[in-house]
Amino acid sequence: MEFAFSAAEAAFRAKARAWLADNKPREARPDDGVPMREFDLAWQKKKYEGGWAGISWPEEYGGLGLTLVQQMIWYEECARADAPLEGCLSVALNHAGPTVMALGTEQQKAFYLPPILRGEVVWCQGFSEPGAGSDLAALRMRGEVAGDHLRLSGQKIWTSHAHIADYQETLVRTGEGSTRHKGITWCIVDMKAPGLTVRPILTLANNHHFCEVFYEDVQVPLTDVVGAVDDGWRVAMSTLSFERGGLSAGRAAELRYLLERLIRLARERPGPDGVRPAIEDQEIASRLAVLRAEVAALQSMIFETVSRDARGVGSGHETSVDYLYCGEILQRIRRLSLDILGADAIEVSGEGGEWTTPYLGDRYYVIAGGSSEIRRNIIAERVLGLPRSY
Amino acid sequence: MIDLLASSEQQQIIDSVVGYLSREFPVERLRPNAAGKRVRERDRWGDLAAQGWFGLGVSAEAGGAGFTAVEEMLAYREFGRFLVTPNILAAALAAHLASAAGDLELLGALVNGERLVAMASPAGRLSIGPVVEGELHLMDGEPGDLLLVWDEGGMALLERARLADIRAVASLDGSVRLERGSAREVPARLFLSFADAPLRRRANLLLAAGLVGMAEGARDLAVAYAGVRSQFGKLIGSFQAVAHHCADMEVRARAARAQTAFAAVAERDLRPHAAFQISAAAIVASDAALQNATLAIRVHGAMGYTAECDVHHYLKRAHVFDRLNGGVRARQAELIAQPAPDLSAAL
Repeated sequence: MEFAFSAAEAAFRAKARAWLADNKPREARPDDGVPMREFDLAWQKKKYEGGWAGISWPEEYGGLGLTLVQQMIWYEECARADAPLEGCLSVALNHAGPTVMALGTEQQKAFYLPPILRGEVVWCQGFSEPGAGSDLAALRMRGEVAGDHLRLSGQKIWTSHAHIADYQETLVRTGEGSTRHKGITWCIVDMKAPGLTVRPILTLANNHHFCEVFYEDVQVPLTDVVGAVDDGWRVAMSTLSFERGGLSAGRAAELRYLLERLIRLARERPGPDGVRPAIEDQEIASRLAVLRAEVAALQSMIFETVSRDARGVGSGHETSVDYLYCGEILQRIRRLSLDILGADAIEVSGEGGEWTTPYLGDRYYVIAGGSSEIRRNIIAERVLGLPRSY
Repeated sequence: MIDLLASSEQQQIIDSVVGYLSREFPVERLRPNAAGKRVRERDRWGDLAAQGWFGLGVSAEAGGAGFTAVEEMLAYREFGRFLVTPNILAAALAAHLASAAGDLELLGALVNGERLVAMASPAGRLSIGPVVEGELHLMDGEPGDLLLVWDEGGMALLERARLADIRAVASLDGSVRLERGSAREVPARLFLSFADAPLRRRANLLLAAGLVGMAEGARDLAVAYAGVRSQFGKLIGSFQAVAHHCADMEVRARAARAQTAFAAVAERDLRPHAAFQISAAAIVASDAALQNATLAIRVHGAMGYTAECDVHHYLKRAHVFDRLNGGVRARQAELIAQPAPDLSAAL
């Protein structure tokens, strides 16, 4: 058992730290609409110009070809500098882009990948439908092959950032009489295509994070199908191995700094008695201590994931454990932040808004991209070897 | 290099501990119908000493096996899993204490098993110093033992014979014999203030390691049972109500295991944040052991409520470890008082 960074890793960290200090965004990130899009694209562009774009991308696609340890160091330094993660570019950088890399044609790679790294485009993910959420293979939206096009008709929903996106990675059912995982096609939809309507949905956090998307005979050239027609399930699953733990490392690092900010808040603000600092309240101190222990343990789990990656052992499903733990701890930190705020907890304006707005928004992390319940199913089945429970 | 998995040499240590314990001290030994023929650990103390376990983390020059905090943590994780008497922890810590105090003669007698050490813990008010005064709980002890006890301030070793009013009490954990005794101005055989000694960190690290073993042991029993027991025509593990309990056990056990491993490495490598990591390990490991055992009993249903089913021992032993010499509340206060660790330092 070892834990030490090499001289080269330390130098990489120093370089990242110095660059972030000079270049991280100074203004707060808008939480909605075009201003948010412009902010995230500008940050990506800045990283591209500074040589920091494509943290997890291989060099042949213009990425940095970093080791998992280097990716972790980058994300740690971002958290330390309070620099934002990818924001609404996450689908492009972490899912759609890697899918095109894995199974796209040379033309598709040349056309779609460079603008992602340069910070010119936003992608969204058209997977969920009104009848297909956690159960993705229940999707029903049709795509008919007509000549050299696919014609899409139907509806997607819960599509994050569709209202500010340029492209969508979309799953449609193409095969005749196809069911479940068979006869699905993975294609790229231009969000400006005729027949496509986007209707933003107001979230409980009072922003427009996700949308309904309607397709009325939307035409997609077959050259924008990635992989073969009817082979889309395999295409959609091809990126599962791409995420080796870099993103979890990033979220764990953010959580560490978030909790330390909350501890500072508890030292500075009066607690429940209105006189002593909140941290001198026994119950608040005890909950903060337990969270500090859990956040430390999450960080150690990430180090263990990095260890498994380096040795090439494990099934990869262990990252579900990290992700579930991370989401649950975040909920507890957010809840405790409101208890520390006291009366200010019911304002989203003013000083407390820094905590109350994300308290609402972060419900997202135990639902999106596989809810905590789905992750427990995966852990029980794939990690513990129990029979399928769903 | 970041590698929190056991090296092949470390794995050999784990395998040899597990091999010996599954042969000689399987958890089934604690079943009621095994009591008559049960071999107690102290009846085989010389044999345990011969494995080199009491001086595992003591330097070779001082007569120990010369392994580090990491290997010691790995062994004590297995002792927790097999619910070995807390006295094996007392033996290791007493050896560290004798080594730190420079009492090589006593160290030798402890490491080779000639002197037996029983775990003691404050039972109410206890003042621990060069002179010990107050009430103690004694575990799995007999006349002639040395007693090991510690609190926030220091660790002491005393002669059991100097205690007054020793009487048996019924134990929450029936697999640990419990007594109470009074120390009335008893001079400690050895005393070390924690102000300038890493021994308190070692004690908390090995306690955490034992609790990780219990958390994993309880999880494994629950998962195995959920995979064989059928109701409503299905294995109960195929019901989400049960499967999700098992998944949560896995999360807690993995968190505790990883944190304890990282803490052991930090301790071995003398990192400034070792105390922080060890306090965190004690908190998550205690929670994991208690919660996993609680749920594992429930997953076993009525079977889990019987004395015959092994799972209840994990809950009871976890409570004993949770309470030993200060308990979790003290770890919380320690942790919140520490500065946030800098994990980026390269060395």
